[in-house]
Amino acid sequence: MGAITDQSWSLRGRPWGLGLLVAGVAVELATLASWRATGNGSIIPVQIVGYLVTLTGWIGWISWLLERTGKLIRGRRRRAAALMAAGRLEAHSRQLGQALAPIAIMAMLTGTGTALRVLSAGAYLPRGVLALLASAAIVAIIGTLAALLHTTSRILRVSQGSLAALHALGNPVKPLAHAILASNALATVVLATTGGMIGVLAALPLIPIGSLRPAPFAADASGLAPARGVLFGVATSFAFAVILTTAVTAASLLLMPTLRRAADSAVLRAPRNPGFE
Amino acid sequence: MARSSADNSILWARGLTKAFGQVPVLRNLTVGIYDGEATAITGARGGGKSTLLHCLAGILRPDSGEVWFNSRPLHTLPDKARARLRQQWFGLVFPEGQLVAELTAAENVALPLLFPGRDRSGAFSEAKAWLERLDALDCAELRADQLTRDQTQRVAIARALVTSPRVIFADNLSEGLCGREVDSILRLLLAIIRSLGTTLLLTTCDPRVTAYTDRELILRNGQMTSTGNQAWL
Repeated sequence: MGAITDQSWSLRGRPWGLGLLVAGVAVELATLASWRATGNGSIIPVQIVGYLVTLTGWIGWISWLLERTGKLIRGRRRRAAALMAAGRLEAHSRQLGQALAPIAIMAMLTGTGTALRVLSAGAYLPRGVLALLASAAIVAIIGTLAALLHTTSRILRVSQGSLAALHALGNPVKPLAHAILASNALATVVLATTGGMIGVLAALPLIPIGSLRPAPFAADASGLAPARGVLFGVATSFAFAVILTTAVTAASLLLMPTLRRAADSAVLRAPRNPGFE
Repeated sequence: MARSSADNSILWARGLTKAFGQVPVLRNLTVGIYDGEATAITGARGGGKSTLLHCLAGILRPDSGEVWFNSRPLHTLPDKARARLRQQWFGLVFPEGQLVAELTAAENVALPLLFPGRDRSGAFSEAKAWLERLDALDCAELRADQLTRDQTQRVAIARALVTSPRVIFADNLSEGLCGREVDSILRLLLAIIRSLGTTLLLTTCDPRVTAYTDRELILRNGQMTSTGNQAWL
């Protein structure tokens, strides 16, 4: 019966983010190993690269995890709102994961290169390399934001029409809103939980353990260094969790006006013919 | 199938007026749709066909005038009551299908049954039966965004029919379909609605579609003229 209209959506999600996550944490640990061996060195640029790779890996892995969660729920739920919520979770996670894949590859290459460089020559990096890393980080952040915005706008555009159609078919707005909120709430819980855990893991090199104290805390005579280190770890995990939960909440809020507009028949018309028919 | 009296109208409107901002779309329009009949509303692009369809289906509230379905005044019913009425009695097919992209074809067709609380297995077996009837069972497990235009419209028609409605409203059903696909879909749809005694009201600019219907109503300058049976107007 003809060609598939949108092949990118049909690609199955893959847990590529897990590899990236491991690479990100490896950068952190490599930094720590080099640091402990040499006793000095500026780690901040390498740490930033490590965080970037970890963050990208986390987003990729979480998109796969959410997709699998959605698929699991979808096969079992009886209620329409739960079915819609699971479908949204599965499809949107896959789309976001796929959109971020090219940036993830770039971040993974940069991260691995940095980790190898740090392992071979210590935490000191030439200025040229640092400038290159900073440029790569900026490009990656801009690319990530652009990919997220593009995918989200596409999701919103498609959702507008289908939600309006369901309302036009006589389905009340409340279960439709519940479906959106349920999928976003589930995504938020998973993001906050895993983000917190990975944040602590990524900040481990900065937490003083016994006599091994990283530079920012080594000269502390007050005895508060371990507490500061833990605080830093928790703050990092919090930042990790907040970034994407904010994005998810924003997407959810953007869909609410769509639901309010569900009775607006203009949404039901063909996008190719926006005028009155 | 032509009727001679307004008494046979399952759906009718009188003195219908609708404007978007300063642009009048429907002007004091009167129309009747007969029970069990297939009616096409034709007219120029941008002439208000979809607006009229949405007013008759209770999606849009007219600025003035009356819309009656089976002795129920759609123009005075509150939003919730109109939504319930649409869920119970109407089936709608939209130009782009407007299926839920994240769900499979079978899930899309089952949704109108699942929302009011129908059990999952019953809803899905009924959905698949309708997909089979519309020659679309082979795409039951494909997500809506993986369907071709032809498959999308078949699934959208199955979704409209699954609740056994009294009236099917189809807006620009043939848009983006080739002649063979239009013929195939309309032949199936007409056979189904005739066997069930369902009323069909569709909007189109395509003479191939009009040829399949019992009556053609032409919308011109926000008012209705008719070919075929003129007796009611």
